[in-house]
Amino acid sequence: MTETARPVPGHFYLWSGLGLLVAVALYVFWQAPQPNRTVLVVGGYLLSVLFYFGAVRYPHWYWQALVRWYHQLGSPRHFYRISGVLLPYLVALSGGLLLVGLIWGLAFSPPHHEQGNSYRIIYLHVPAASGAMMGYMAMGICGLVSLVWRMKMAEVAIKAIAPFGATLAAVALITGAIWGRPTWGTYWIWDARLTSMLILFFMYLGVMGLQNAIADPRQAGRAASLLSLVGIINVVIVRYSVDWWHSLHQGSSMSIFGAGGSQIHPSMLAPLLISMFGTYFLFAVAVLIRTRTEVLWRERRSRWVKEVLR
Amino acid sequence: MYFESWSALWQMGTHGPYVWSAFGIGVALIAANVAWALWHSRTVRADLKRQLQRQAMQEKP
Repeated sequence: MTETARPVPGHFYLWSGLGLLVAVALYVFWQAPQPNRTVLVVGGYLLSVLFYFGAVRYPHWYWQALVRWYHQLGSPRHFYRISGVLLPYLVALSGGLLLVGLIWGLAFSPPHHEQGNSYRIIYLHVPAASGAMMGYMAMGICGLVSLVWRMKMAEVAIKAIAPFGATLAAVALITGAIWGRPTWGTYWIWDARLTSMLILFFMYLGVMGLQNAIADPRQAGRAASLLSLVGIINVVIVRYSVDWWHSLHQGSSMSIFGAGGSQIHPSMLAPLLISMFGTYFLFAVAVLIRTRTEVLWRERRSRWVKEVLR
Repeated sequence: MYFESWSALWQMGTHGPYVWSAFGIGVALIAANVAWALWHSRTVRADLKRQLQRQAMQEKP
């Protein structure tokens, strides 16, 4: 049997050429700052190629992979196995990043020209605050998934996300208060950013409280899902509070898509980004540990749990 | 290192108390949260194991 190369259809050249043209045009005319633009344009092009082969050329394969992934994630047994493989790498990654980022920020980065050394609190304050907000977004999405598709694992995830999210929100509030004393002259002020962040902390506590207060686990799960979904509005308010209201809190100085780019000098931005990613990975570690515990408890009567515990 | 000595790092001009208390409280809270998760996981596992052993004992004779 002889293999003959299949001819590439003409529209392939047409579309890939058009895609390249769009990418080049974006690169030239987009006002976003240089390094971000490169990453976004090249990444966007690669993603569109991936999407083409996945969804247009081989939609069957793409759909099957998506369905399989969804079911594996939704199946407690598969989740337990996959998360067990993933966990050690996440621990190493988050530990390493946090160690490097925090020590770099505390001891090696230069001082701020107005705030002196007090600004070093940023290396814990910003990662904690953004981790708390991202965590709530993730929890809200889990709430949607659990309400719409009745996926049990999404309920478990909400229960696992809330405690660490609440801790990060508390850390952001406390470090912010300590930072406010030398910078603003006060620990606390009822300002839009600070108040909405306090509400975020209470929303986390509310989700945790609801799960403990309602005896029927199914009803508790539904109530917590609803509260996490509704609370997304508050995350949006936290994010844009510094733009919508006059706030003592400074505006955001990091932007991925906007023309401003990052207004932070690279010598300060590098350790900040490293500790931010370290915090995100630590969030994943905490969530996986709690999810695994909860899965073992809920599935305690099934055979696979007995095999795991043996 | 930006600072000239360990004591300079500790004092940070006049801002040492603020920076170090913020980092101390923050890191302690986060570490306590992870430790709590690990402790809870361990107790749940131990409980489940004990239950399993008890069941096995009851089924044996």
